[in-house]
Amino acid sequence: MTRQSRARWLAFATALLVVLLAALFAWVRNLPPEPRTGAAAAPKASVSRDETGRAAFVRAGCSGCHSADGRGNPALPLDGVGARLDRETLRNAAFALGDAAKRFPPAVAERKRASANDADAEALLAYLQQLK
Amino acid sequence: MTSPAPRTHRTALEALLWLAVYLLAVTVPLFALLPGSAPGLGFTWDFAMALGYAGLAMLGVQFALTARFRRATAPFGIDIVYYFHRYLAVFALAVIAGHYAMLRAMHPDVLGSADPSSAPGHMTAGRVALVLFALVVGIALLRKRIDLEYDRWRFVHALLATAAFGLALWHLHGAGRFLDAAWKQWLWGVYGAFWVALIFYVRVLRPAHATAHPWTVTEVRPERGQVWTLALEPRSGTPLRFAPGQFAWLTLRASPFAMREHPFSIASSAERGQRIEVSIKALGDFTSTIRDIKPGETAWIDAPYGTFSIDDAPEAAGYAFVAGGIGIGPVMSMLRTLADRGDRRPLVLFYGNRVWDRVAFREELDELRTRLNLHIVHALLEPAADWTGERGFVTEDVLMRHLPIERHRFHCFLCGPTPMTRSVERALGALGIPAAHVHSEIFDWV
Repeated sequence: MTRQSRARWLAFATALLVVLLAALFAWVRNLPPEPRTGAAAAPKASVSRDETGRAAFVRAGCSGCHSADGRGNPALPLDGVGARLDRETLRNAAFALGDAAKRFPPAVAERKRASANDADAEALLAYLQQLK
Repeated sequence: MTSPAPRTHRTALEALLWLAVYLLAVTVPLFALLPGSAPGLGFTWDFAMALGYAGLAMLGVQFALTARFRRATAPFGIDIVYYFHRYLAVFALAVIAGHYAMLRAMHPDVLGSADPSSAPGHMTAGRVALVLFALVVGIALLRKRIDLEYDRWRFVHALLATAAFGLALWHLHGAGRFLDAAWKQWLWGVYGAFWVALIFYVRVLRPAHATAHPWTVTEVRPERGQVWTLALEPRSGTPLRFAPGQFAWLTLRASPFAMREHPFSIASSAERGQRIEVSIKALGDFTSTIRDIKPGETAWIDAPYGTFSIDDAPEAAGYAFVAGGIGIGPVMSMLRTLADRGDRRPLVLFYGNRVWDRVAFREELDELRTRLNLHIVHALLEPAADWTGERGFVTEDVLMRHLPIERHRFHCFLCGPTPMTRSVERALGALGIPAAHVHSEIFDWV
Protein backbone atom coordinates (compact mmCIF):
# COMPACT_ATOMS: atom_id res chain seq x y z
CA MET A 1 0.00 0.00 0.00
CA THR A 2 1.39 3.43 -0.84
CA ARG A 3 1.74 6.09 1.80
CA GLN A 4 -1.07 8.09 0.23
CA SER A 5 -3.60 5.26 0.27
CA ARG A 6 -2.49 4.43 3.81
CA ALA A 7 -3.46 7.99 4.80
CA ARG A 8 -6.81 7.57 3.05
CA TRP A 9 -7.61 4.34 4.89
CA LEU A 10 -6.44 5.78 8.17
CA ALA A 11 -8.77 8.76 7.71
CA PHE A 12 -11.67 6.51 6.73
CA ALA A 13 -11.16 4.18 9.70
CA THR A 14 -10.84 7.13 12.07
CA ALA A 15 -14.03 8.75 10.78
CA LEU A 16 -15.88 5.45 11.00
CA LEU A 17 -14.78 5.08 14.62
CA VAL A 18 -15.99 8.60 15.38
CA VAL A 19 -19.42 7.82 13.86
CA LEU A 20 -19.60 4.55 15.82
CA LEU A 21 -18.70 6.37 19.03
CA ALA A 22 -21.41 8.94 18.30
CA ALA A 23 -23.89 6.07 17.85
CA LEU A 24 -22.65 4.57 21.11
CA PHE A 25 -23.27 7.91 22.81
CA ALA A 26 -26.88 7.96 21.54
CA TRP A 27 -27.37 4.32 22.47
CA VAL A 28 -26.06 4.79 26.02
CA ARG A 29 -28.37 7.74 26.52
CA ASN A 30 -31.37 5.72 25.46
CA LEU A 31 -30.70 2.54 27.39
CA PRO A 32 -33.72 1.07 29.15
CA PRO A 33 -35.07 1.12 31.82
CA GLU A 34 -34.74 4.90 31.64
CA PRO A 35 -38.28 5.88 30.63
CA ARG A 36 -38.30 8.00 27.54
CA THR A 37 -39.83 11.29 28.27
CA GLY A 38 -41.61 14.00 26.44
CA ALA A 39 -42.07 13.93 22.75
CA ALA A 40 -40.04 10.78 22.35
CA ALA A 41 -42.93 8.97 24.01
CA ALA A 42 -45.02 10.20 21.10
CA PRO A 43 -48.23 8.33 21.75
CA LYS A 44 -50.23 11.41 20.97
CA ALA A 45 -49.00 11.74 17.41
CA SER A 46 -52.24 10.30 16.15
CA VAL A 47 -54.46 12.74 18.02
CA SER A 48 -56.22 14.96 15.53
CA ARG A 49 -55.58 18.62 16.07
CA ASP A 50 -56.32 21.89 14.45
CA GLU A 51 -53.72 22.02 11.64
CA THR A 52 -53.85 25.84 11.44
CA GLY A 53 -52.60 26.01 15.04
CA ARG A 54 -49.92 23.40 14.39
CA ALA A 55 -48.74 25.31 11.30
CA ALA A 56 -48.60 28.52 13.36
CA PHE A 57 -46.51 26.65 15.96
CA VAL A 58 -43.95 25.63 13.32
CA ARG A 59 -44.04 28.97 11.50
CA ALA A 60 -43.34 30.94 14.67
CA GLY A 61 -40.25 28.76 15.19
CA CYS A 62 -41.55 27.14 18.40
CA SER A 63 -40.55 23.69 17.14
CA GLY A 64 -36.88 24.73 17.07
CA CYS A 65 -36.86 24.39 20.86
CA HIS A 66 -40.09 22.53 21.70
CA SER A 67 -41.88 19.41 20.66
CA ALA A 68 -45.60 18.74 20.67
CA ASP A 69 -47.43 15.65 19.47
CA GLY A 70 -44.10 13.92 18.89
CA ARG A 71 -42.79 16.51 16.44
CA GLY A 72 -40.18 19.21 16.97
CA ASN A 73 -37.25 19.44 19.37
CA PRO A 74 -37.74 16.73 22.01
CA ALA A 75 -35.54 18.53 24.53
CA LEU A 76 -38.43 20.72 25.75
CA PRO A 77 -41.75 18.93 25.24
CA LEU A 78 -44.96 20.91 25.58
CA ASP A 79 -47.35 17.98 25.74
CA GLY A 80 -49.71 18.50 28.65
CA VAL A 81 -49.04 22.21 28.87
CA GLY A 82 -52.71 22.96 28.07
CA ALA A 83 -53.75 21.07 31.18
CA ARG A 84 -51.16 22.69 33.45
CA LEU A 85 -51.53 26.35 32.52
CA ASP A 86 -54.52 28.60 32.01
CA ARG A 87 -54.86 30.67 28.85
CA GLU A 88 -53.35 33.88 30.24
CA THR A 89 -50.32 32.14 31.80
CA LEU A 90 -49.87 30.27 28.55
CA ARG A 91 -50.06 33.51 26.60
CA ASN A 92 -47.46 35.14 28.85
CA ALA A 93 -45.10 32.16 28.56
CA ALA A 94 -45.54 31.77 24.82
CA PHE A 95 -44.96 35.43 24.01
CA ALA A 96 -42.69 36.38 26.95
CA LEU A 97 -45.11 38.94 28.32
CA GLY A 98 -45.06 40.46 31.79
CA ASP A 99 -43.02 38.70 34.48
CA ALA A 100 -42.72 35.56 32.33
CA ALA A 101 -40.18 37.41 30.17
CA LYS A 102 -37.61 37.21 32.94
CA ARG A 103 -37.50 33.44 32.71
CA PHE A 104 -35.96 33.48 29.23
CA PRO A 105 -32.61 34.54 27.86
CA PRO A 106 -33.01 37.97 26.22
CA ALA A 107 -32.68 36.66 22.66
CA VAL A 108 -35.35 34.01 23.27
CA ALA A 109 -37.68 36.52 24.96
CA GLU A 110 -37.31 38.83 22.00
CA ARG A 111 -38.18 36.08 19.52
CA LYS A 112 -41.20 35.10 21.57
CA ARG A 113 -42.43 38.70 21.83
CA ALA A 114 -42.08 39.15 18.09
CA SER A 115 -44.70 36.44 17.52
CA ALA A 116 -47.29 38.05 19.82
CA ASN A 117 -48.79 40.21 17.08
CA ASP A 118 -48.78 37.56 14.34
CA ALA A 119 -52.14 37.12 12.61
CA ASP A 120 -52.23 33.50 13.72
CA ALA A 121 -51.13 34.15 17.32
CA GLU A 122 -54.58 33.21 18.62
CA ALA A 123 -54.58 29.98 16.60
CA LEU A 124 -51.18 29.16 18.13
CA LEU A 125 -52.52 29.74 21.63
CA ALA A 126 -55.57 27.61 20.92
CA TYR A 127 -53.27 24.83 19.74
CA LEU A 128 -51.19 25.02 22.93
CA GLN A 129 -54.38 24.82 24.99
CA GLN A 130 -55.30 21.62 23.18
CA LEU A 131 -52.05 19.96 24.38
CA LYS A 132 -53.60 18.22 27.35
CA MET B 1 19.84 6.56 18.52
CA THR B 2 18.28 3.20 19.35
CA SER B 3 18.60 -0.30 17.94
CA PRO B 4 16.61 -1.19 14.82
CA ALA B 5 13.71 -3.42 15.90
CA PRO B 6 12.54 -1.45 18.94
CA ARG B 7 12.77 1.71 16.87
CA THR B 8 10.25 0.48 14.29
CA HIS B 9 7.99 -0.75 17.07
CA ARG B 10 8.32 2.49 18.89
CA THR B 11 7.28 4.43 15.79
CA ALA B 12 4.22 2.18 15.34
CA LEU B 13 3.35 2.59 19.01
CA GLU B 14 3.74 6.34 18.79
CA ALA B 15 1.51 6.39 15.71
CA LEU B 16 -1.16 4.41 17.58
CA LEU B 17 -0.80 6.71 20.56
CA TRP B 18 -1.43 9.79 18.44
CA LEU B 19 -4.44 8.15 16.78
CA ALA B 20 -5.82 7.50 20.27
CA VAL B 21 -5.16 11.13 21.16
CA TYR B 22 -7.12 12.10 18.05
CA LEU B 23 -10.12 9.96 18.97
CA LEU B 24 -10.03 11.22 22.55
CA ALA B 25 -9.86 14.85 21.40
CA VAL B 26 -12.93 14.28 19.24
CA THR B 27 -15.08 12.13 21.52
CA VAL B 28 -14.18 12.98 25.12
CA PRO B 29 -15.94 16.36 24.97
CA LEU B 30 -18.96 14.45 23.67
CA PHE B 31 -19.00 11.76 26.34
CA ALA B 32 -18.31 14.35 29.01
CA LEU B 33 -21.87 15.54 28.30
CA LEU B 34 -23.35 12.25 29.50
CA PRO B 35 -23.09 12.42 33.28
CA GLY B 36 -26.04 14.09 34.91
CA SER B 37 -27.80 14.86 31.68
CA ALA B 38 -31.53 14.45 31.17
CA PRO B 39 -32.67 11.05 29.91
CA GLY B 40 -32.30 10.17 26.25
CA LEU B 41 -34.57 11.79 23.72
CA GLY B 42 -34.71 8.93 21.28
CA PHE B 43 -31.85 7.31 19.37
CA THR B 44 -32.16 9.25 16.12
CA TRP B 45 -32.33 12.58 17.91
CA ASP B 46 -29.36 11.89 20.18
CA PHE B 47 -27.37 10.37 17.31
CA ALA B 48 -27.99 13.45 15.16
CA MET B 49 -26.85 15.67 18.04
CA ALA B 50 -23.77 13.51 18.68
CA LEU B 51 -22.84 13.77 15.00
CA GLY B 52 -23.04 17.54 15.31
CA TYR B 53 -20.75 17.68 18.35
CA ALA B 54 -18.30 15.09 16.96
CA GLY B 55 -18.23 16.76 13.54
CA LEU B 56 -17.39 20.10 15.08
CA ALA B 57 -14.64 18.50 17.17
CA MET B 58 -13.23 16.83 14.05
CA LEU B 59 -13.14 20.18 12.30
CA GLY B 60 -11.37 21.68 15.31
CA VAL B 61 -8.67 19.01 15.15
CA GLN B 62 -8.21 19.83 11.45
CA PHE B 63 -6.50 23.04 12.58
CA ALA B 64 -4.15 21.05 14.80
CA LEU B 65 -3.23 18.61 12.02
CA THR B 66 -1.71 21.33 9.87
CA ALA B 67 -0.25 23.30 12.79
CA ARG B 68 3.04 21.44 12.24
CA PHE B 69 3.54 20.01 15.70
CA ARG B 70 6.77 18.10 15.29
CA ARG B 71 6.12 15.41 17.89
CA ALA B 72 2.67 14.52 16.59
CA THR B 73 3.69 14.44 12.93
CA ALA B 74 7.01 12.62 13.37
CA PRO B 75 5.72 9.01 13.58
CA PHE B 76 3.73 9.43 10.36
CA GLY B 77 5.71 11.88 8.26
CA ILE B 78 4.27 15.33 7.73
CA ASP B 79 3.18 14.56 4.16
CA ILE B 80 0.95 11.76 5.47
CA VAL B 81 -0.48 14.08 8.10
CA TYR B 82 -1.42 16.58 5.38
CA TYR B 83 -3.07 13.82 3.36
CA PHE B 84 -4.83 12.67 6.52
CA HIS B 85 -6.04 16.26 6.99
CA ARG B 86 -7.34 16.32 3.43
CA TYR B 87 -9.21 13.00 3.52
CA LEU B 88 -10.50 13.55 7.02
CA ALA B 89 -11.99 16.88 5.96
CA VAL B 90 -14.21 15.03 3.49
CA PHE B 91 -15.37 12.62 6.20
CA ALA B 92 -15.86 15.40 8.76
CA LEU B 93 -18.01 17.24 6.23
CA ALA B 94 -20.01 14.03 5.76
CA VAL B 95 -20.51 13.77 9.54
CA ILE B 96 -21.75 17.38 9.74
CA ALA B 97 -23.96 16.84 6.69
CA GLY B 98 -25.28 13.69 8.42
CA HIS B 99 -26.20 15.79 11.45
CA TYR B 100 -28.23 18.11 9.23
CA ALA B 101 -29.69 15.39 6.99
CA MET B 102 -30.90 13.34 9.95
CA LEU B 103 -32.71 16.32 11.44
CA ARG B 104 -34.14 17.22 8.04
CA ALA B 105 -35.45 13.67 7.59
CA MET B 106 -36.56 12.74 11.12
CA HIS B 107 -37.28 16.06 12.83
CA PRO B 108 -38.00 18.58 10.05
CA ASP B 109 -40.02 20.89 12.32
CA VAL B 110 -36.93 21.61 14.42
CA LEU B 111 -35.09 23.22 11.53
CA GLY B 112 -37.86 25.74 10.97
CA SER B 113 -37.57 28.43 8.34
CA ALA B 114 -34.28 28.75 6.43
CA ASP B 115 -35.04 32.41 5.79
CA PRO B 116 -32.34 34.30 7.73
CA SER B 117 -34.74 37.20 8.43
CA SER B 118 -37.04 34.99 10.49
CA ALA B 119 -34.79 32.09 11.59
CA PRO B 120 -32.88 32.40 14.88
CA GLY B 121 -29.30 33.62 14.38
CA HIS B 122 -27.71 30.44 15.65
CA MET B 123 -29.68 28.31 13.17
CA THR B 124 -28.63 30.53 10.26
CA ALA B 125 -25.06 30.34 11.59
CA GLY B 126 -25.25 26.54 11.46
CA ARG B 127 -26.55 26.56 7.88
CA VAL B 128 -23.94 29.05 6.68
CA ALA B 129 -21.18 27.08 8.46
CA LEU B 130 -22.23 23.91 6.65
CA VAL B 131 -22.17 25.69 3.28
CA LEU B 132 -18.78 27.26 4.06
CA PHE B 133 -17.28 23.92 5.12
CA ALA B 134 -18.49 22.39 1.87
CA LEU B 135 -16.90 25.29 -0.01
CA VAL B 136 -13.61 24.92 1.88
CA VAL B 137 -13.43 21.22 1.06
CA GLY B 138 -14.58 21.63 -2.53
CA ILE B 139 -12.10 24.39 -3.32
CA ALA B 140 -9.22 22.47 -1.69
CA LEU B 141 -9.95 19.35 -3.74
CA LEU B 142 -10.40 21.26 -6.98
CA ARG B 143 -7.60 23.80 -6.45
CA LYS B 144 -5.29 22.43 -9.13
CA ARG B 145 -8.10 21.79 -11.58
CA ILE B 146 -9.47 25.31 -11.29
CA ASP B 147 -5.92 26.68 -11.43
CA LEU B 148 -6.14 28.58 -8.16
CA GLU B 149 -2.76 29.96 -7.14
CA TYR B 150 -1.33 28.28 -4.01
CA ASP B 151 -0.82 31.47 -1.95
CA ARG B 152 -4.27 32.82 -2.72
CA TRP B 153 -5.87 29.46 -2.00
CA ARG B 154 -4.10 29.12 1.36
CA PHE B 155 -5.36 32.52 2.44
CA VAL B 156 -8.94 31.82 1.34
CA HIS B 157 -8.76 28.36 2.90
CA ALA B 158 -7.67 29.63 6.31
CA LEU B 159 -10.15 32.50 6.23
CA LEU B 160 -13.18 30.41 5.22
CA ALA B 161 -12.30 27.59 7.61
CA THR B 162 -11.89 29.95 10.56
CA ALA B 163 -15.14 31.77 9.73
CA ALA B 164 -17.02 28.49 9.36
CA PHE B 165 -15.63 27.20 12.65
CA GLY B 166 -16.64 30.40 14.44
CA LEU B 167 -20.17 30.18 13.03
CA ALA B 168 -20.38 26.51 14.05
CA LEU B 169 -19.41 27.44 17.63
CA TRP B 170 -22.15 30.08 17.64
CA HIS B 171 -24.61 27.46 16.39
CA LEU B 172 -23.53 25.10 19.16
CA HIS B 173 -23.88 27.81 21.77
CA GLY B 174 -27.42 28.64 20.65
CA ALA B 175 -28.71 25.17 19.84
CA GLY B 176 -26.64 22.98 22.16
CA ARG B 177 -29.30 21.61 24.44
CA PHE B 178 -26.87 19.17 26.01
CA LEU B 179 -25.06 22.07 27.56
CA ASP B 180 -27.56 22.02 30.40
CA ALA B 181 -25.10 22.53 33.24
CA ALA B 182 -22.70 25.39 33.79
CA TRP B 183 -19.69 23.07 33.85
CA LYS B 184 -20.64 21.62 30.46
CA GLN B 185 -20.94 25.08 28.96
CA TRP B 186 -17.59 25.88 30.52
CA LEU B 187 -16.03 22.70 29.14
CA TRP B 188 -17.19 23.38 25.59
CA GLY B 189 -16.29 27.03 25.96
CA VAL B 190 -12.74 26.05 26.86
CA TYR B 191 -12.73 23.52 24.03
CA GLY B 192 -13.74 26.16 21.50
CA ALA B 193 -11.29 28.65 22.99
CA PHE B 194 -8.50 26.10 22.65
CA TRP B 195 -8.99 25.92 18.87
CA VAL B 196 -9.18 29.68 18.61
CA ALA B 197 -5.93 29.90 20.60
CA LEU B 198 -4.37 27.35 18.27
CA ILE B 199 -5.28 29.45 15.23
CA PHE B 200 -3.75 32.43 17.02
CA TYR B 201 -0.56 30.47 17.69
CA VAL B 202 -0.20 29.30 14.10
CA ARG B 203 -1.16 32.54 12.39
CA VAL B 204 0.29 35.10 14.81
CA LEU B 205 2.81 33.74 17.32
CA ARG B 206 4.72 31.50 14.95
CA PRO B 207 5.08 34.14 12.21
CA ALA B 208 6.13 36.59 14.94
CA HIS B 209 8.87 34.18 15.97
CA ALA B 210 9.99 33.84 12.35
CA THR B 211 10.03 37.63 11.95
CA ALA B 212 12.36 37.92 14.90
CA HIS B 213 14.80 35.43 13.32
CA PRO B 214 15.49 36.62 9.77
CA TRP B 215 17.90 34.95 7.36
CA THR B 216 19.81 36.49 4.48
CA VAL B 217 20.05 35.16 0.94
CA THR B 218 23.81 35.00 0.33
CA GLU B 219 23.89 33.33 -3.08
CA VAL B 220 21.56 32.54 -5.97
CA ARG B 221 23.13 29.91 -8.22
CA PRO B 222 21.74 28.33 -11.39
CA GLU B 223 22.03 24.55 -11.70
CA ARG B 224 21.29 22.30 -14.65
CA GLY B 225 17.66 21.63 -15.56
CA GLN B 226 16.03 24.94 -14.58
CA VAL B 227 17.02 24.46 -10.95
CA TRP B 228 18.06 27.38 -8.78
CA THR B 229 19.96 27.02 -5.55
CA LEU B 230 19.49 29.60 -2.82
CA ALA B 231 22.04 29.82 -0.03
CA LEU B 232 20.73 31.26 3.24
CA GLU B 233 22.53 32.34 6.39
CA PRO B 234 20.97 33.20 9.75
CA ARG B 235 21.50 36.82 10.78
CA SER B 236 21.70 35.72 14.38
CA GLY B 237 24.60 33.44 13.51
CA THR B 238 22.89 30.50 15.25
CA PRO B 239 23.19 27.47 12.96
CA LEU B 240 20.06 25.48 12.07
CA ARG B 241 20.10 21.98 13.53
CA PHE B 242 18.40 19.56 11.16
CA ALA B 243 18.59 15.99 9.93
CA PRO B 244 19.65 15.50 6.29
CA GLY B 245 16.53 15.08 4.15
CA GLN B 246 14.33 17.36 6.23
CA PHE B 247 12.62 20.40 4.76
CA ALA B 248 11.92 24.02 5.58
CA TRP B 249 9.00 26.38 5.03
CA LEU B 250 10.48 29.33 3.19
CA THR B 251 9.10 32.86 2.91
CA LEU B 252 10.63 35.29 0.40
CA ARG B 253 9.60 38.82 -0.45
CA ALA B 254 6.61 38.73 1.89
CA SER B 255 5.97 39.02 5.59
CA PRO B 256 5.83 35.73 7.52
CA PHE B 257 2.31 36.87 8.50
CA ALA B 258 1.22 36.90 4.86
CA MET B 259 1.00 33.08 4.66
CA ARG B 260 3.16 33.03 1.55
CA GLU B 261 5.49 30.29 2.68
CA HIS B 262 6.42 27.25 0.64
CA PRO B 263 7.96 23.93 1.67
CA PHE B 264 11.36 23.00 0.22
CA SER B 265 13.84 20.28 1.05
CA ILE B 266 17.12 21.45 2.47
CA ALA B 267 19.77 20.25 0.02
CA SER B 268 22.90 21.17 1.93
CA SER B 269 24.83 19.17 4.51
CA ALA B 270 23.35 18.86 8.00
CA GLU B 271 26.89 19.33 9.28
CA ARG B 272 26.86 22.90 7.97
CA GLY B 273 23.83 24.49 9.63
CA GLN B 274 25.29 27.99 9.51
CA ARG B 275 24.64 28.14 5.75
CA ILE B 276 21.77 26.14 4.33
CA GLU B 277 20.88 25.66 0.70
CA VAL B 278 17.58 24.90 -0.98
CA SER B 279 17.42 23.88 -4.62
CA ILE B 280 14.24 24.82 -6.38
CA LYS B 281 13.04 23.86 -9.83
CA ALA B 282 11.20 26.57 -11.75
CA LEU B 283 7.85 24.82 -12.10
CA GLY B 284 5.07 26.99 -10.67
CA ASP B 285 4.02 30.56 -9.90
CA PHE B 286 6.39 30.92 -6.97
CA THR B 287 9.29 28.73 -8.06
CA SER B 288 9.63 30.60 -11.36
CA THR B 289 10.42 33.80 -9.47
CA ILE B 290 13.40 32.32 -7.59
CA ARG B 291 15.84 33.39 -10.30
CA ASP B 292 14.97 37.03 -9.62
CA ILE B 293 15.96 36.83 -5.96
CA LYS B 294 19.08 38.88 -5.25
CA PRO B 295 21.80 38.16 -2.69
CA GLY B 296 21.23 40.31 0.39
CA GLU B 297 17.46 39.86 0.40
CA THR B 298 15.76 38.76 3.59
CA ALA B 299 14.26 35.29 3.96
CA TRP B 300 12.34 33.64 6.78
CA ILE B 301 12.34 29.97 7.45
CA ASP B 302 10.33 27.67 9.67
CA ALA B 303 12.36 24.49 10.00
CA PRO B 304 13.21 21.68 10.25
CA TYR B 305 10.32 19.35 9.43
CA GLY B 306 9.94 15.84 8.08
CA THR B 307 11.11 12.33 8.87
CA PHE B 308 12.60 11.49 5.50
CA SER B 309 16.17 11.07 6.69
CA ILE B 310 19.05 8.61 6.96
CA ASP B 311 19.27 9.72 10.59
CA ASP B 312 15.96 7.93 11.10
CA ALA B 313 17.68 4.66 10.10
CA PRO B 314 21.23 5.00 11.43
CA GLU B 315 21.63 1.25 11.79
CA ALA B 316 21.41 0.49 8.04
CA ALA B 317 24.25 -1.48 6.41
CA GLY B 318 24.03 0.92 3.49
CA TYR B 319 21.61 3.24 1.75
CA ALA B 320 19.94 3.25 -1.64
CA PHE B 321 18.47 6.46 -2.97
CA VAL B 322 15.98 6.71 -5.81
CA ALA B 323 15.46 10.26 -7.04
CA GLY B 324 13.34 11.53 -9.91
CA GLY B 325 14.12 15.02 -11.22
CA ILE B 326 14.18 17.62 -8.46
CA GLY B 327 13.52 14.83 -5.96
CA ILE B 328 17.33 14.86 -5.78
CA GLY B 329 17.14 17.81 -3.29
CA PRO B 330 16.84 15.87 0.00
CA VAL B 331 19.12 13.15 -1.42
CA MET B 332 21.84 15.75 -2.02
CA SER B 333 21.55 16.73 1.61
CA MET B 334 21.95 13.14 2.73
CA LEU B 335 24.91 12.48 0.41
CA ARG B 336 26.68 15.72 1.34
CA THR B 337 26.14 14.97 5.02
CA LEU B 338 27.47 11.42 4.70
CA ALA B 339 30.54 12.83 2.91
CA ASP B 340 31.09 15.42 5.64
CA ARG B 341 30.81 12.70 8.26
CA GLY B 342 33.35 10.51 6.46
CA ASP B 343 30.79 7.68 6.26
CA ARG B 344 32.17 4.72 4.25
CA ARG B 345 29.05 2.55 4.06
CA PRO B 346 28.03 1.39 0.57
CA LEU B 347 25.61 3.76 -1.18
CA VAL B 348 23.70 3.43 -4.44
CA LEU B 349 21.95 6.36 -6.11
CA PHE B 350 19.37 5.77 -8.86
CA TYR B 351 18.72 9.10 -10.53
CA GLY B 352 16.05 9.39 -13.20
CA ASN B 353 15.92 12.33 -15.60
CA ARG B 354 14.67 13.15 -19.07
CA VAL B 355 17.87 14.25 -20.79
CA TRP B 356 21.54 14.24 -19.80
CA ASP B 357 22.05 18.00 -20.17
CA ARG B 358 19.44 18.70 -17.51
CA VAL B 359 20.71 16.38 -14.79
CA ALA B 360 21.05 18.73 -11.84
CA PHE B 361 24.20 18.33 -9.69
CA ARG B 362 25.70 15.70 -12.00
CA GLU B 363 29.23 17.16 -11.75
CA GLU B 364 29.05 17.43 -7.97
CA LEU B 365 27.74 13.87 -7.76
CA ASP B 366 30.82 12.71 -9.69
CA GLU B 367 32.97 14.59 -7.24
CA LEU B 368 31.10 13.05 -4.25
CA ARG B 369 32.00 9.61 -5.60
CA THR B 370 35.58 10.29 -4.63
CA ARG B 371 34.62 11.02 -1.01
CA LEU B 372 31.98 8.28 -0.60
CA ASN B 373 31.57 4.59 -1.35
CA LEU B 374 28.93 5.66 -3.88
CA HIS B 375 27.65 3.94 -7.00
CA ILE B 376 25.56 6.21 -9.24
CA VAL B 377 23.04 4.89 -11.77
CA HIS B 378 21.66 7.51 -14.14
CA ALA B 379 18.50 6.52 -15.98
CA LEU B 380 17.42 8.71 -18.88
CA LEU B 381 14.03 8.80 -20.57
CA GLU B 382 15.38 10.48 -23.72
CA PRO B 383 19.02 9.44 -23.95
CA ALA B 384 21.33 10.31 -26.85
CA ALA B 385 22.11 7.51 -29.28
CA ASP B 386 25.53 6.92 -27.74
CA TRP B 387 24.24 6.72 -24.12
CA THR B 388 25.56 3.60 -22.40
CA GLY B 389 23.73 3.98 -19.08
CA GLU B 390 20.23 2.89 -18.11
CA ARG B 391 17.31 3.90 -20.32
CA GLY B 392 13.69 4.54 -19.32
CA PHE B 393 12.29 4.45 -15.81
CA VAL B 394 13.91 2.97 -12.73
CA THR B 395 12.31 -0.47 -12.95
CA GLU B 396 12.71 -3.65 -10.91
CA ASP B 397 15.28 -4.87 -13.45
CA VAL B 398 17.35 -1.71 -13.09
CA LEU B 399 17.22 -1.95 -9.29
CA MET B 400 18.20 -5.61 -9.33
CA ARG B 401 21.17 -5.01 -11.63
CA HIS B 402 22.73 -2.44 -9.32
CA LEU B 403 21.67 -3.21 -5.76
CA PRO B 404 24.17 -5.38 -3.88
CA ILE B 405 23.33 -8.85 -2.65
CA GLU B 406 23.00 -7.66 0.97
CA ARG B 407 20.36 -5.16 -0.14
CA HIS B 408 17.83 -6.42 2.45
CA ARG B 409 19.99 -4.74 5.10
CA PHE B 410 19.91 -1.43 3.22
CA HIS B 411 17.46 1.38 3.85
CA CYS B 412 16.00 2.96 0.72
CA PHE B 413 14.94 6.59 0.27
CA LEU B 414 12.56 7.48 -2.56
CA CYS B 415 11.81 11.01 -3.64
CA GLY B 416 10.22 11.93 -6.93
CA PRO B 417 6.93 12.08 -8.80
CA THR B 418 4.20 9.95 -7.22
CA PRO B 419 4.01 7.31 -10.02
CA MET B 420 7.78 6.74 -9.69
CA THR B 421 7.60 6.43 -5.92
CA ARG B 422 4.70 4.02 -6.17
CA SER B 423 6.28 1.71 -8.74
CA VAL B 424 9.70 1.71 -7.03
CA GLU B 425 8.05 0.89 -3.67
CA ARG B 426 6.47 -2.15 -5.30
CA ALA B 427 9.70 -3.18 -7.04
CA LEU B 428 11.74 -2.95 -3.84
CA GLY B 429 9.16 -5.12 -2.09
CA ALA B 430 9.49 -7.69 -4.87
CA LEU B 431 13.28 -7.62 -4.40
CA GLY B 432 12.89 -8.64 -0.77
CA ILE B 433 13.52 -5.31 0.89
CA PRO B 434 11.33 -5.05 4.01
CA ALA B 435 8.68 -2.32 3.84
CA ALA B 436 10.05 -0.83 7.08
CA HIS B 437 13.32 -0.17 5.19
CA VAL B 438 11.61 1.83 2.44
CA HIS B 439 11.16 5.54 3.12
CA SER B 440 9.43 7.85 0.75
CA GLU B 441 8.35 11.40 0.63
CA ILE B 442 5.29 12.40 -1.31
CA PHE B 443 6.36 15.04 -3.75
CA ASP B 444 3.34 17.26 -4.25
CA TRP B 445 1.44 17.09 -0.98
CA VAL B 446 0.49 20.75 -0.83
